[in-house]
Amino acid sequence: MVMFRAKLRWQKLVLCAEEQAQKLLRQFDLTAKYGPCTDVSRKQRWERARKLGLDPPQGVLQALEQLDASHPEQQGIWADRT
Amino acid sequence: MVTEAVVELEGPSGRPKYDDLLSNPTSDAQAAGHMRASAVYKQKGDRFKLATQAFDRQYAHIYFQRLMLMKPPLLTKVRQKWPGVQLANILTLPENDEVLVVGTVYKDMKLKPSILDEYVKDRGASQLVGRTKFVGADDSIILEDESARMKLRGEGLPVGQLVTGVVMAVKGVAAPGGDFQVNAFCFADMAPQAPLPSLSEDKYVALVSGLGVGDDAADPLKLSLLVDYLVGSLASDEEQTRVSKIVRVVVAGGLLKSTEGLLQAITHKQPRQQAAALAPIREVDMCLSELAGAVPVEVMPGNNDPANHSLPQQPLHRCLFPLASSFTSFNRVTNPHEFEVDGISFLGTSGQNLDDIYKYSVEENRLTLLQRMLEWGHLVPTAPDTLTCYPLSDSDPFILQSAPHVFYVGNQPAYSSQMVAGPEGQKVLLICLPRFSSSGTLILVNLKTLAVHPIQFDADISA
Repeated sequence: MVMFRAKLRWQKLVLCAEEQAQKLLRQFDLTAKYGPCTDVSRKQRWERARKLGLDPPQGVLQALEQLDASHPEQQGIWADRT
Repeated sequence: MVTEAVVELEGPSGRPKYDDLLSNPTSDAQAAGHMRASAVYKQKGDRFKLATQAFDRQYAHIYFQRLMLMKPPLLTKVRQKWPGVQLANILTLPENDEVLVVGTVYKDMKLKPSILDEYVKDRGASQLVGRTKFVGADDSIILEDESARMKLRGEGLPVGQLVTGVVMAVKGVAAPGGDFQVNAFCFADMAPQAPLPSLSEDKYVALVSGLGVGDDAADPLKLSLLVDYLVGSLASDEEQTRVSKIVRVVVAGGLLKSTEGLLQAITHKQPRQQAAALAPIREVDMCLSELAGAVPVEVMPGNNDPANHSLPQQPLHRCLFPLASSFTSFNRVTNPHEFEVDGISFLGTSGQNLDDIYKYSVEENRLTLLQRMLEWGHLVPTAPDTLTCYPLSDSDPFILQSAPHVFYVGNQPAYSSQMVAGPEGQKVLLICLPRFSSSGTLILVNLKTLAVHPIQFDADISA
């Protein structure tokens, strides 16, 4: 019983972290300061923002680097929807 | 300003005597012929070449890049001009403070042709037929930055002269109702210019545009005369001395009257019909190969040439010029094009940018519009709004990072030129090149003095 509860708590923690990462990436997409988020991958948009001197948050780059290159979260929220 | 067939250049005066070429050479030096002058050439238009062509991006990216790249120099200039004024975002404009906003202009014109007009029953095409300009008295300016847009109000705002796509800084107060009352405005102004080098001897660059081969109404003899003149087989020894100082010939677009012939050649099955349809481009190829054998030639694509339609136009393909491509002195370049000859920088287009701005601005004088382009700091502000542009997303190659010494535009209705000065002592020579098919004019720019000499070729035998 105790093991089961611990497993549930562990899954909840992992899910929380994933959700938080998703939230962060989504917020990055919707911030108009870094430019349009359509048609570019999140990493490309982050690079572009850095080159233009807009100081994008490091947390976003870290979250993207932890994911696979083919992970759906690498693309913006409007990818495949426009 | 265009003179008749008599050539008026600096140098020894006197009408050229045609008898000189019909008699034996008078001295050994004359028999040896003339050597063409040479100059150091540098290609500076690499940013207009597209490495890949992907059409999956939207145009919002170009506007973002344009605003972000033009904002920093504009901000430093504006902070000096209006110290102490806060920079604000349109979305978070404070209510009653005087603030500074930097954004892209969008000009709302009721007469601007829109594809949606077809679906509105009461607006007929009759309003727009025969119109050369689409400006109206009720046009309004809207400023957009990366967050939102707002309508601008103000008596001093040059609504008629502005066009969509210009990056501007405005100072004013937010008016009730969402508008913005403008007290003052500012543009990027002329970019810094490299110092003008001083040359020891006269050298010329020849500019021509709008050859218009394939036009039944045009006179092919004029083009023949032009090629003969530039090659140096026309006129007397004196003249040839002057022609030997022409170091480069630039054809600023308009090689063909239209690409109909080339497109029809695909459908024609008979070789005779095909040959007839391909005759214009073959003629151009022969003329250019003759020229390339004698002088370095650069060819820019124009509006009706067989190159991609959207700006920046890529160089014409070498298969179109099988004879001329075998010469290394033959250069196919992009439109717009930038190059440097002996340290004098030239920047020019084949005319699409100026023609488009002319349609949406009240200004009638084309040279003033060229000057405005330098003030706004952008070569083609109306792209991609009304002028087709490639969906770039990495940068905006049309931003003027540095002012050229000579700024030319081809395919214009008439020849005109003027020297303008910038705020930091820059001096730019503006030239509007007329169409050769109608005016027969070749423009020579003297690199030593930046003087402009139009030479007109007239092949009218009847007069």
